[in-house]
Amino acid sequence: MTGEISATTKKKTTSERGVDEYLRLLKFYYLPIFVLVIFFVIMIFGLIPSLNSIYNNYSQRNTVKKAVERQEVTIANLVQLKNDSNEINQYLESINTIAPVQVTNVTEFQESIKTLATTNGIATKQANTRELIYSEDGSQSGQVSYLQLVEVPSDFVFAGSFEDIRTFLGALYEQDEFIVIEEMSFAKPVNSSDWELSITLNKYQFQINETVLTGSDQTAQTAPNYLAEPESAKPDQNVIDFIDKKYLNKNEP
Amino acid sequence: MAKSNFSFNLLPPKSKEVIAREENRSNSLLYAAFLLFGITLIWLSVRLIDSAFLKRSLDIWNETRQQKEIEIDSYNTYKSANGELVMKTRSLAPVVEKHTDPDLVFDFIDSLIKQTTPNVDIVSYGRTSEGTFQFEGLTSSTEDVASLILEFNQQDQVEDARLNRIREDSDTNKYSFIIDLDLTNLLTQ
Repeated sequence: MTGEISATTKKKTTSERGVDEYLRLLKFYYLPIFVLVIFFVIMIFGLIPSLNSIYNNYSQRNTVKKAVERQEVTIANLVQLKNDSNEINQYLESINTIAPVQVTNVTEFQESIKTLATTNGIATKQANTRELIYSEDGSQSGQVSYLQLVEVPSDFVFAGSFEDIRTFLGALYEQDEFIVIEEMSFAKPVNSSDWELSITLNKYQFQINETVLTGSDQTAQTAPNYLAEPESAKPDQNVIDFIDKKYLNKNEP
Repeated sequence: MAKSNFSFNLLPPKSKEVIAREENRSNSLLYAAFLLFGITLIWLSVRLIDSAFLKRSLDIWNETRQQKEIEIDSYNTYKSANGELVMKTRSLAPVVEKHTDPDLVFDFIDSLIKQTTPNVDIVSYGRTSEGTFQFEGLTSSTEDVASLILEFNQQDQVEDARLNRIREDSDTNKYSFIIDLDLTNLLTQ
């Protein structure tokens, strides 16, 4: 028993000695250890955040640089639009002839057709107006169009000689006012010397699509948002060719 | 000054072990100081690159972007005009396709009939809301109708020619027929 106590005391003494030795070493090396601690503090709280900041600024700079490059392309397109502005306005004027942004005076339209018929030696037997037809909007899929094309159809029945009616149809096609022959039946009735032309003529107009204006939009959005179209968007080439040919008398290449 | 011959040290000399340990400590301190100096230098360099070059460059790019934005806004009038043209032409495209010269159709049908089947008389022309043209003719032989359809289908201007209806009039012994024509090719030429 006495031997065991003596061994424990001896062991404790050795362990205490070890602790003392460590403390002594710590005191002896406190300066290099202190410097190392500062090293790690600078690395953790100084260098790493600074490197992170460099990375973030570099990525942000690249993002902004790419955005500026895109803006330069946009500006190049816009400069081109500015150079083409006279041409664009000419086309818009012609489009206003084809389909104005206003309510078509149907009575006036019918009268002008009747006058054209009389001028070409044919009689108007009947002239009726039908309800307006709202066409599907011409916006690209997924977009809401504030501009709606409206058809104003009128039915006519004319009578006259074959040649006179053909001349009248030619005159309808040639006149500046844009009219589309939607339906036509041109026949010679039995027991009649005259030919008869039953025709549906369409006129067109643009109007603001009020169904898409809801709530606060009704006050905020009073005109079509033309700026929503990207500057790189191109007008429909068939319509442009048509305007060139019919209204601007441009020769095709 | 003459060197004194009476120099003595009362402290006991340091053991070799102590001298080696102190030397080791001194070296450790030197290495640690170098490390500290190095990392401080790197940190300051990184800060300098970040603030003097990258942040400055970022500020310049941001300023450029803002200036470009202002420049882009100054073109809004032209962009709006182009947007209007794009929207309107897109809406008008299907309508413009329907705007065709009927004279062109009459002349085409007349001339082909005169060349191939002069016995056929045209009694009516028509256009459906789908855009198809049609004509009604009278003839004494069904062969005329067949050869006419064949002839129309051989023309480049005709996309499709089909017999819509044929009927025999027992009083006159003549056949009345209607042919539907898709003349898209002719009208887009």
